[in-house]
Amino acid sequence: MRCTGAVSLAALVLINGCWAGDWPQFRGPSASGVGDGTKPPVKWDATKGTNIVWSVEIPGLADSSPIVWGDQVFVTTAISSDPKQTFRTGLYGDTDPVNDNSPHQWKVLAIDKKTGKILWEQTAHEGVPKTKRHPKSSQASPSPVTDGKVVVAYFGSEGLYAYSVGGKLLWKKDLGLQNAGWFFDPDSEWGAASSPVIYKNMVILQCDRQKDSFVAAYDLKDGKELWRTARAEIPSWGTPTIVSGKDHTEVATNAPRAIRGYDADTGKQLWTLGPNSEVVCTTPVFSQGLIFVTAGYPPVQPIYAIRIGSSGDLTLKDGKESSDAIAWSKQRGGVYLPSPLVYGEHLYTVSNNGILTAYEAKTGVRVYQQRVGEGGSFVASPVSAAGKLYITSEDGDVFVVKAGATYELLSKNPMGEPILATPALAGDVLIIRGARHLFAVAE
Amino acid sequence: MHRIAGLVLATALALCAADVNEELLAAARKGDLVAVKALIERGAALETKTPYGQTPLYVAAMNGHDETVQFLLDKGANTDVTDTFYKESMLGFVLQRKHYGVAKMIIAKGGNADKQLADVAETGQADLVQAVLEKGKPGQAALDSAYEAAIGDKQAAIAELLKKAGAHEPAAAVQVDAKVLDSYTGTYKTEQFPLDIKVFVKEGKLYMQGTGQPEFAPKPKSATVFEFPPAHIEVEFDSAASFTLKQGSMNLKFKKAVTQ
Repeated sequence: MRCTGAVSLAALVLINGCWAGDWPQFRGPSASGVGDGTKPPVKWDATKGTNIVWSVEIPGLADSSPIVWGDQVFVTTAISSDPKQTFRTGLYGDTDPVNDNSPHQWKVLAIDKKTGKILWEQTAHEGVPKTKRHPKSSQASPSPVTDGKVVVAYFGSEGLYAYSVGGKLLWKKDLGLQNAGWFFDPDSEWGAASSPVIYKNMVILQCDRQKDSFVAAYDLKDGKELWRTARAEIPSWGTPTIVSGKDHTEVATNAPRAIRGYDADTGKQLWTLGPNSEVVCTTPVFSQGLIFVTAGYPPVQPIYAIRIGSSGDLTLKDGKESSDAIAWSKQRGGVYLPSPLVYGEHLYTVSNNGILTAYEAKTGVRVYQQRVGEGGSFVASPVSAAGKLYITSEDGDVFVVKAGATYELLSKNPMGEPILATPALAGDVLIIRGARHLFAVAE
Repeated sequence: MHRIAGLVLATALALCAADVNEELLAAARKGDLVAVKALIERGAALETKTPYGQTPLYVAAMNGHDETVQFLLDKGANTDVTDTFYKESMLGFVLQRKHYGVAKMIIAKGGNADKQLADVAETGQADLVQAVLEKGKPGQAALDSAYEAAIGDKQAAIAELLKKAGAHEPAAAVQVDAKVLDSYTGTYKTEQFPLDIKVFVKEGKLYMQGTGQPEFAPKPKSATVFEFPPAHIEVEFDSAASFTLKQGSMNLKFKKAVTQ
């Protein structure tokens, strides 16, 4: 284990209310996946220790992504008392859940970003999981979120927990059974995955389940419910995105029955758009005044570029691909698990089988389509910084691709274990969560 | 006034019926036989459907609840149900989940013997094939197709059952010149779908493989048209550089991106 030293001051640029060294939620500032102002590494090899600053074993299983604030990295995990529990990786369409009825511990850990030392860990909950999980999922799939003072962890049916960044439990909240599973057979429980997000003094959650779905805001200070809006919605797994326009802020949500926008301050629904896939796992991203939403399951696999500030039913008339509210759209080409990425002038999507497609973000014109690596399964969402895209395969390789109108693979970096979580960019350090370890990578 | 009261009553009754039907679907899904019986007694509709066209029998069967399945079958529940989303038959889902006991119960009630034979032949379960042949009378085309598939899959016991039932020997395979097959090899892409298909020749046969999927060997119908009945796929080469893949309502045009 070695330390690369302090992050360069030059890299500390204020982006979206947090420093470039911070990655406060799933996919970083505004869920964008963009870490501009940071300079992450291009080449490393975890199997040989090359450019690995530190690695630390994290017990249990979790799909949740690491988040970073200042010198602390926060992760969540669920530890089954059955030591054989693991992820089932690969490309498959099986719907049967993992039914692990053994007692679990749900934990939040804070780790020193410089050394990898565990600074504190708190057990949020203990018990038998209230719902099953998808073989690719875990009992700790939602990523935590922080504003630099409070760290909020959501464990689905096991509740919502807020800690100080020093590790003191501030409040907790039972949100009831979060039965998110297969629409076709509600007993095929796959577990919750939508991550909490923070807006002003609120933590906002999208809880799409078999019955009584809702989006709600809770006071960051004490967990008091500030608003709740019911949704006629079936289970979904995408994280809501906070989208700020000139005079208002929206919560954009992606789900099967509709893609929707809500007033972030009140929860009032502003707009709705369909059709969409019947299973939705991706998170909307916002760039250049457009909200990009995609999904990749039948009956349609759409990509929409929605203008912020729209209202009402934005559903396009038959045969139309654009309107005053929709800059462009496609009903094919949307992707299933990795969320899309807008970087520079381009929208990038990564399909489950590792096909990277680049579009002109403003027009939807396809620029290129290219397989990344030799195939396999891709679950983690792509992130980007310093003119590069970081694309992570489930097999445990991180591909670094030059951003832009032509495909150029810069490196393939083995991690030595499966990866399902989306990496975090923290200054010049890339934080990668594997199935068993958390790695800090820097050149 | 009476008319308004009547409308209110009708609306209330309709809502109650919706509730009881939803409860029946939930009980059948969980295999709660006591609740299923009580809800049927209370007037729940035997053929009520989920938004995806699944009936109580469908959801009980796909979850392998044999006692509930038997009760619903005894009540006369329809076995020829196909869902509206995946377009999969009840028996198809039951077989996917390997609830073979439940499959036998459904087959024993009859139904579309052609479809049932196609479904069970793929499982490799000879006793289920026997059950379909005993209960129904699959048409000649269904028998022949299942027989050919069984031979291809080296399912000797199933092939023998089908032959005894009257399946015809498959026609001799169309022979395509090796040079023509070689000309098709390469990796193909389509703009309509994020999937590459690799086309290659192995032991004199044309094979195809989608990204991340198992390889399959489509059978030549001619020098340019190939079919793979188990997945309802037809591939037509319009040159050595492109083909059209038809599957269900999909019609995808692939172009060769890489020559091997």
